[in-house]
Parts: sequence; C-alpha cells; structure tokens
Amino acid sequence: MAEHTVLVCTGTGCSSSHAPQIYEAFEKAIDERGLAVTVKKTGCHGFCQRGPIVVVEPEDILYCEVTVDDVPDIVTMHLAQGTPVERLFYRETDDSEPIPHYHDIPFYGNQHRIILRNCGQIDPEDIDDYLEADGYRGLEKALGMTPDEVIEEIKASGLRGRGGAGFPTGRKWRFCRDANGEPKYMICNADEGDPGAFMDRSILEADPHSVIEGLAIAAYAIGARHGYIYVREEYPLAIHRFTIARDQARERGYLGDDILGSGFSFDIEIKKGAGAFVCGEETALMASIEGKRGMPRPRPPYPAQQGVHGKPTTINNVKTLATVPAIMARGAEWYASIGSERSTGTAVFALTGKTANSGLVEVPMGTPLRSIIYDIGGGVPYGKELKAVQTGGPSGGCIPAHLADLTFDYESLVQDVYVPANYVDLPIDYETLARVGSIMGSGGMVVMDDDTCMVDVAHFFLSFTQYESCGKCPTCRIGTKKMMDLLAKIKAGRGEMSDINLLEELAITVKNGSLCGLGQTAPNPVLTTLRYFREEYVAHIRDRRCPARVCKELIWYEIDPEACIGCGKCASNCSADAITGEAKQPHVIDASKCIKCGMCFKVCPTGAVKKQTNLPGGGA
Amino acid sequence: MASVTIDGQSIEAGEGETILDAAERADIFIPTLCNHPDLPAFGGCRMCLVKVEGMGSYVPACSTPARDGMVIHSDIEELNRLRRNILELILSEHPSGCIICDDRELCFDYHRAPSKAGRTTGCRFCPEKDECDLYDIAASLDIEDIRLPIEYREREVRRDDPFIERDYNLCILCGRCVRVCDEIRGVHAVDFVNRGHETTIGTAFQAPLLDSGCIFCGACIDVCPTGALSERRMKWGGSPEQRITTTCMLCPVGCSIEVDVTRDRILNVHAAGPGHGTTQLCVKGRFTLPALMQHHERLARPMVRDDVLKAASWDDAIGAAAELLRRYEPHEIGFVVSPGMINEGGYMLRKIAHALECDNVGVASGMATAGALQTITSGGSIDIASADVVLLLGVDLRITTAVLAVSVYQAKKNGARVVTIGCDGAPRWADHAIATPSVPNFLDGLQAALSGEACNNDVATMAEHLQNGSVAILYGPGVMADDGTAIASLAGVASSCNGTVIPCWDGANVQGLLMLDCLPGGHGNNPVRDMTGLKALYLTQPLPDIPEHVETIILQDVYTSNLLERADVVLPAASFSEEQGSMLTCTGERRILQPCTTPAGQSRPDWDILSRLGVALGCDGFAYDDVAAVTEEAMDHIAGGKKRPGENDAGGEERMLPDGMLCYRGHAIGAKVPDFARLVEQWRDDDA
Repeated sequence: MAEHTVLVCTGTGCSSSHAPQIYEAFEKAIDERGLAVTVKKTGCHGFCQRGPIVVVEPEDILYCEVTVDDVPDIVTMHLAQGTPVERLFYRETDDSEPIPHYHDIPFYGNQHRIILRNCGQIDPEDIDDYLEADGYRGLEKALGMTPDEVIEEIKASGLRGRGGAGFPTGRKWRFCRDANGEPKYMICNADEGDPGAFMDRSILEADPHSVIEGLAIAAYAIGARHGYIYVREEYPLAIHRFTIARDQARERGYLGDDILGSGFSFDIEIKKGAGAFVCGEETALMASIEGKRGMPRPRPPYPAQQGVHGKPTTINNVKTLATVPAIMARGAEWYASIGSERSTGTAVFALTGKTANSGLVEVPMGTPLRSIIYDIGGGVPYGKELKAVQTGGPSGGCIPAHLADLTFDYESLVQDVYVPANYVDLPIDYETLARVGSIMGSGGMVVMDDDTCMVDVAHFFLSFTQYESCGKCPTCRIGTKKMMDLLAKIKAGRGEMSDINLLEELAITVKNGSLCGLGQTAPNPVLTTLRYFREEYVAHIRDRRCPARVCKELIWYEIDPEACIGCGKCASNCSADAITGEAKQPHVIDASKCIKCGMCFKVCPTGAVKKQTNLPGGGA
Repeated sequence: MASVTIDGQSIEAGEGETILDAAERADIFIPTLCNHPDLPAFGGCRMCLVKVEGMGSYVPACSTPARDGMVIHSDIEELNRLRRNILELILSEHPSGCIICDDRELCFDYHRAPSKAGRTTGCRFCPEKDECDLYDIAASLDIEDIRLPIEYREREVRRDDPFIERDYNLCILCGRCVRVCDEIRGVHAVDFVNRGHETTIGTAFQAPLLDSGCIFCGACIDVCPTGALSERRMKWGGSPEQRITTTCMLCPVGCSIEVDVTRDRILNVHAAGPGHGTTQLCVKGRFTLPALMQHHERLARPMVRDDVLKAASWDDAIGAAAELLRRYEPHEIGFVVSPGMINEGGYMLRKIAHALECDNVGVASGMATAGALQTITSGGSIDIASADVVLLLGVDLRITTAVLAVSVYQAKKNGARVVTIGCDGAPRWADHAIATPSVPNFLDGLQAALSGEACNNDVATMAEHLQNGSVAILYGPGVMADDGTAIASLAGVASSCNGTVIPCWDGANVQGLLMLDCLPGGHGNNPVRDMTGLKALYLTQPLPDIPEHVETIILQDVYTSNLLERADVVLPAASFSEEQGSMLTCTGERRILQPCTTPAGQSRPDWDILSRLGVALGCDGFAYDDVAAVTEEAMDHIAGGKKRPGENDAGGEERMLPDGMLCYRGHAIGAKVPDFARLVEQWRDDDA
C-alpha cells in the first residue's frame, strides 16, 4: 500500500511545460530512493494558467508551476520527510497567503464538479482507474432497463444540451428513437471551436471513458449501432487518449458486439475535423462526416429525422455525454436537485480574461455571476474595475429581432451578451440569461475591465466569425464582412454617426437571414455592445476618442514629465527609436516615429508613460 | 396531402412538397435565386425566407416541407425588407451600376445587343443582359440604391479552357453549378473553395476545367443565373430571332435540342427542356453545332470531273452520276450509307441500290451488322435510372451517348450497382471497373457462367450481380472486336438475366438505318468491310484505304475531303440542322428533325438528291413532292416485317472505323472545332 500518490497533470497545457519530463523525473527519483509512492499521470485539472500542476495525496496538497528542477525537493522534503514544499503552494497573487490544500483553494473549493468529476483525479489511459471511480456503472444500469426507461430517466433529470442551445436531452433522444430509418447514428460533437473554450478538450484528455460511456448509453436509448466522435484535429492529445480508451473499452467488452451480454452492440468511429469552426454546427458536422465540404443544410428536416447519410441521428456535446453516466448511476432525482428548476445540474465555464484565476469552472446552474467572478475567479486583478462579461463564445442559438424594434427587448435567446457590471448579481441559468439576452453557449466567459474597448471586442469577434464563415449564404458571407469593415472604419476614427444605424440594420439582416447558428449569432457582439455600450461607439465617431485607449488610430503615447525619473528604460526598449532624453531627465516620445507598440508603457517603472486619447467632446 | 395557407390563400400541398412547391402551384410568387427545378434544394440565397406561425425563425420555402395546418406569410414588409437587404449585400459585390440605374431601359433600347467587353462592369457589358435572374429579382423588389460600400472582388477571369469562360466577379454563389455538376452529372469538377469572404467557386487547386474532369456538357452555364458562366464563341449573340426545336445527330441518343437562330445563322444550342424530356446535353451537341454546321469547308456546289473537278449544275451533276452508275453491273457497285444520314436519306439510298438490283449495301459503322439487329428493342423508352444493375460493355461514355451517363448516374444514386467492362473513361463512381483485353472473351465467359458453368472469380461475381433484379446493358464498339460474333453472346447474356440492351452505336442513326435494311442483301458484301470486286462506290461519307480497283467514286457529302482527289461526281448534301426528317435513337425512339437554317451554298437534303438520281436513272417511284411522302414510306418500311440480312455480314477488326463518334458524317469534329480537339487530346492524355 503506497503511502503517497503523486498525480502529475499531463493535459495539453501542462505537457507543453514539460509535464511528461516531470513525471519521468518523479518515477526515477522515487525508484532510486525506493519510496512507497505511486506516480500517476492524470488529465487536465482545468487550471492551466498555474500549470504544470502536481497533486499529492492523501494530503490533498496542490503544487503549481512545477518544473523538473523542483522534483528533487518534492521527493526529498515532502515524500521522504513529510514536509511539503511551501514555495510551490498556490497563491492568488505573489504577496497573498499560500493555500496548500486543493480543496481550500477557492478556485476549486467553490466548484461542484460532476462533468469534470474525474479530471485530474484518474489516469485517463487506464480503464481500471475509471472503473474504480464508479466507471461504467451507469452503462450497466442502463442496459438493465429498456431504452424507453433510459430516455425517461434522462428526461426526469432535466439535463439540457451543453453544446450551447440548451435543448432538453431526453426529448432529443425521444425524437430520434421515434424516427423511421435504419441504421441510426449517435454522434459526439467534440469540435469545440470557440476560441478560449477548452472544457471538451480537458474532458477528452482527462476522462475519455466518461464520453464513451455516455455515447453507449445514448446509443442504447435511441437504438443506434454506429457512433462517431467528431474531434477537431487541433486536439491530438485528446484524440490519442480517446483512441486508447476506446480500444480498452472494446477489450473489456464495453464496446463492440453484445456489450456486457445484453445483446446491444455499439462501436465508435473517430473522425477528425480539418480546421473549420463551422463544422461544430451539427449539419455541417454531418456533411464533413460524409466526406463533403463542411457547409450547413437548412433545417427542417432535422438530424433526428434525416441526419448522416439521410438516417436518424442524434448529436450531443462532450459535456452532455460526460454527464449522462453520472445521472444513470446516481439517479435523475439526485441530478435534478442540483441547479435551478428549469436548468438542472451544473455547467462548465472557461473563465478567462481579466481575472485572477482563469480556467475551467463548474458550478450549479443558478450560481450568481458575481460568485463565479469573485469567489472562484478571484476578481479583477491589479485594482481594476469590472466592465463587462462576455458569455457564450462567438457561437450559439438564434433569435429573430424585429427590424423596426431598435430597442432590443429580447424575450427569447440571444447569444453572446455583454453583461454590464451592474448585472453581476445575475444568477446563471438558461432562463435568467435569456431574459437579459444571453444563453449558456458552450460556456466561454470572458471577464473585461476598463482597458477593454468594446468596439474593438466587437470587431475582434466579427473578424473570427467572418474568417470562419463557410460562405454559403450572402448574409453571413458578405454581411459580416461589411460589418467588420464598418467597425474598422469606426476604430480608425473615420466613422460617421450614420454608420451606427447601418451597423444595426446589417446586424439584424445577418441575424435573421442566415442559414446556421454561425451567421445568426455573429452579429451578437455588435448588437449587444450597441445596446449596453453605445456611448463608446459615439465617442469613437463623434469625438475620435477611444475611452479604453485601445484603438491605435485614436490614441497616442505621452510621457508625463512630472512622473518621469529619466531611467531610460522606455528608450532602450523602443524599437522605433522614437524616445529621446538624457539620463535622469524627463524623456520625450516623438509621435511621428511612434508605432504605438506599447512597450514603453509596459516597462515604465513609475507609470509616467501615458496612453492618451481625445477628451470627451473632441478636444485633444 | 397537406392543407396550408400562404398569405391568406388556402392551398393543397402534395406528398413531399415544400412550401415553395405549394406556392408555385397556386401562382404565388416567392423570390428565389439558388433554387432550380431540376436540382435538390440548397437553402443558400435566403431570398425565399418565409414566416411560419409557430416556428421561431424564418424558414426557407424551398427546403421546408409543407405540413398540414401551416400558416405562412411571405409578402409582408418585414420579409420584403429583409430580401432587399440581402439583395443589397449581393449587389454590393456584383457590378451593379446598370441594375439600379434610372436610365437603364433607355440605354438598352438604344443598344439592343450587349456591347462586347473584355470585362463586365455592368449589365450593358454582360452577356447575360437579357436573361439575368439577379436583375429580375432586383427589379421585382424595387431596389433603388445600394447603401453599402461597393467592393469589387477582383477575381481572375478564367478564359483558359475550351468552350467555357468563367467570371466569378459576377458569381452570387448560388451553388447551382456545383449541384448540377455533382448531383445530376456525377462529375463534381467544381465546388465551393475557400471560406469567409474569399469563398468562391473553383476546381481543385484552381486548375483549368480541362484538368479537373470537366466533360464540358455546359449544364453549369445553363443553370447559372448570372453572367458568371458563359460560352465563349456565342455569348455576345444577344437574344435570337428564332428558337427551333430539332434533334442532334452527333450520337445515337438523339437529344432534342433548341437551336437559336438569327439571320439564318445558328448562334447557340440548348437542351429542349423538360417538355421534350431533355434537360441535359453533352459537349458535342451543346457547343460544336454552330462551328460544325457553318464551317467554311462545307461542300457548296455540285462538281463533275472533266480531268479536274469542275462546278456543275445540279441537273448536270445528277446526270453524270446516273450515267456513271449505268456503266456497271450491280455486283460491281457498292453503296455506303453514312450513319450521319437521317432515315429519309438512308431509305432513299437503299431504294436506289435496290432499284439497281445491287446487294452491296452497308452502313459506315463497325457496329452495324445483322447480328446487332437482335439487340434492338422496338419502340418505347428504356428507363435506365430504375435498373438494379447497369452494365457498360466496351463503350466510352465520354465520346458517345454521353447523356446516357446521366441516367446511369441516377440509377447509381437510386441504389443500382454499376459495372464497367473494358470501358475507356469509365466513370469514377462505377462500383467495379474491369479492364479486359478482350470484351468478347469476357462476354463468352459471362454467358457460360450464367448457364452454370465454371469460371474465374471476376466472372462469377459478375454473373451473381446480374441476377439481382433488372439489368440495363449498354454496349459499344468494344463488343465488336475480333470477329464481331460476341454479339451473340451478348444477346445470350441479356436474355439470361432479364436484361434490356441499349446499343451505344458508333454512329448517330445506325438504329434507323439497320431498321431500313441498309445491310447487304442476298450474296452481297458490305462495301465498308469488303470492297473485293467493286469498281464503283457511292459514298455518303469518306472512307479510308479505298483500293485502286475502285475506278469510279460518287461522293454525296457535307464537307470537303481528300476524296475530292478521286471523286468523279461530288454532290453537296445538307447537314442535319438544315433538313426535315427523322432518326431512330438507340433507345428505340423516333425523333423529328426540323430545318434551322437554309442549306449552305447549293447543298440539298440527301433524300432530295437521291430522288432526282432515281428519276435520272429512269427508275419508278422516285418522284416525290416533299419529304413527308418519303418519311411515310420509310416508316412503313420500318414497321413492316422482318429484316432480311444477307449471309455475308460478319463484323471484324478490318474496317473498324476509328473513333466514329468523334466524327460527324465521317469527318473529325475536332478538325472543324479547335476547342473540341483540345478536349479530345485531354482524354487521350488521361487514358495514357
């Protein structure tokens, strides 16, 4: 019986920081010293910002930003002598108190991990680890029920699709079960195209069996023999781990013919994406599986009736499928007791941006936004104020907005709202977000402070969706380009007030006219920033001013002679030779040479370098 | 049946119909751009979006099934405004000055034909000016201005291919060309390429169409709603004065074609359309007719040799021909019927031979033998698309009966198994493509296998496939290799497996001419294969290697050729686009030809020449008032009684006329139409 277990995270993030070498170093050192320690590789903890992460049990100690050179210390001091290495403990900021224990760290302690239950806890390449963690119990139970009973159980749990639209999962399976056509197909959508989203990646790297089990249960419920997992090719480690897991599942009889002697047969084919965001849209995904160009098709007919190869198909997100085994094992009632009434269970967010702690956050539905940002995220660092939170990533569902109604009273679901700071007490669930004008999306949550320009953010997301547009419908293909051009014009200080109206009308046209979710939601950054931050647009246009001091054409750099100590750091870091000054004398920036790279601003020790923009009203 | 309401009007929609189908049925106009009656719905242009009560977002009428009880709104301000906005987006990238110009009508009235231009910068300079779907929609929605910044996409204009020119600056990405090429033709030479704003239509790696498998059938041009795709030679012809429906005689399918004519010149050719059962053509019929029919090498005057060939009057030339023929015994003359001749012409030639008691009659085709008669089905159309198995034997569908490939592809999509044996240019979607050095040997083996004898694996698998339902067998010249007796095995195979046979002749009207008895009678020889003992030849197309002992040649042909060095009398014949008559297709249907233009020079229809010849020879029954009388007689002959093939009618490698279907009337199409020669060269390269 080992005295200690060392869990080395080998998710993509930590692996890119030499986690595999750390693992080997541990193995070697422990072997040399003959210690009774088990070293395990785990998948992603979802806290990549602080990686590489090493957890030591049974003390529940978490070490972060570990390097290979730290291994001797951990082995000698902690494992051999019982004294944990304090310098490697988690600290919220450099001068905060260290928190040694995993579950005391607010980032983790305030989470309720069901989807991510095994992430960072088990070795994803060892099926026995999964089995020990109650793995495949859900499948066993399901096979002892009828498919209809399984569907009823999922319905009763209230589980809603975690891919973004939040459609009730049980109902989706019901449609497919009732549809005519053989063979039926069960697909896991692991394309995860939202920039900054990495929950699906983490789950596949850390706990691939949970997805396999979920697929098998779903396939049993809808009556499918064939399964696909469509993984974006940019996730090689996830694909690698999933392949190993699938092969192990086959060996042990959890996949293949006559699973666990039930008479039910099911197997999974792995299909890699080829670099298109639009293939996360279900009809484009199916076209890609069929070997065609990833372009969406109009619905109806829906995949449940006519999907891959024209046959009834169900497509679920990774997170949805990872939840299913837990629901089957522990019961619908247990799951429904978590979260809010119409949005049960938990949701995973990728919390990023201006937040002290960034990473994967899993909380019950109905958790206030404030709690996520402050209690888990640790708030906005460097003393800045919260300006906005973007939820849902650049993709999602759709809502018709009436052309004449420019005050945008959203009653139904709109993607990607920018929630202003005074909405921060908002509980996060499908319904409340919808009332304000948002949806879960696949769970991206970007925190923004005053240094974020909302016009710039709108332009940034539009450039992404425009680049990824498949080009089929003119609204998305041309409309997003025109909107992007208008925003670029505004950012460059050449905007006119009529551009705002044109932007709004274009946004509504693109939203109402586009074929798929990509186009229908692409205008949301524009629509919502116009709704809540219209004054920033006006400032850019009327005053040629960028309040957040981001838009290069509208800002310039100046050195405050009172604050400058003449250290010369700015000048020596200026790649344009735009700064002159003598030692210990105030330095000066030559605006005609300045390329506005911001290096001087970064390196100035006294904050003497200022980013300036026009005053409100237009004066310089 | 489903009861729906559109804009307050109640409509009964049929099984499987969409909202758009229901609207069309009730004459309710819903604008569309990417929709096309022959193509599966795309849902891309977003013009047909309608509002259905109870459905969250707008849905496209073209793809949404009509469900009972649907209440649909289409002609409402919010949707029309959306449509105008979408159109504005398209127009902001499409040269659209003329579309919104107030002076458009006046301008166009002064300049009736489109101004030929190197680059289209507006409707005035666009070949599609009179028929542009984009303009029609813009006009119907009253677009008056484009409020968005105009941005030319500056795509390269592709002029490097034969026949087809592509200007993607005019493309609205409706996807029709992609769909017709992929779903209807099974070629898939073009698709959407790139993403985002850079999305355009193109081939793999933007290679020329010639290198991308394109068969130049022109279907893409036909479905393109704008001027993006056009045909090089005739695109500036403007609206034609007349459109005449006739039949193409460049292969035995005999597609119904609509010929555009202005001032007695053929401008362009299109498929005659759904009313005539044809929406698809092939490169030959679609693109080569104007150059072919109006080529400067057309024979224009009758000529008689007086040491050298001299122009003569018709009477003199006919008289000279009759006089020459009277010099010989019947067994010394051979009559060669060109498969490019219509029924009336072939019938008359055979009637002349018969009147002269000459049995040496043959069709200039390697496949036209008595044996082949047993593979002809009489009357009615054969539905290839519903066969369970399609067998292609020794036929190159790129060269001949290319339009049948469309039906074969439809069969494949309906679940049929497609097998090719010994076929050059076999379609890449065939289930099995078997190369064999000898199609006849394979056929013998197959017949044996179907009778239960032992055979090798390939053949055994084939035999098994053939017993799984209805079989359509398309066979071509490859079957006639060796001694041509494999035709009997073919007939045997067909009857063993419930198969329908379609002979893909190497000549357009072989079927009609065979039914008209243009075969050797009694002890006669087929002069195409065996010229032993012949001293005179009556040719209706050139033949190679005519032996010296043939001292007299009467040539009744459409174009000049080397034979003019030997011919004693030259009689200029009208081409098929200049005459009235009929032909029989390889699927057993009778098709009518109408004259589109007056015959070139002094040429006359074949039947007319032969009627005068008959009279000049002093034979009875050769005086006809008009072609209708000839037609009647010819049809009676086809309808009545068994054909009487003579004894000496084997096939054979000797006299296999190379590439019959790359020719019209024995003359290489590529020599008259340079773009076609480029295509043939590409096929040769592909096969090498």
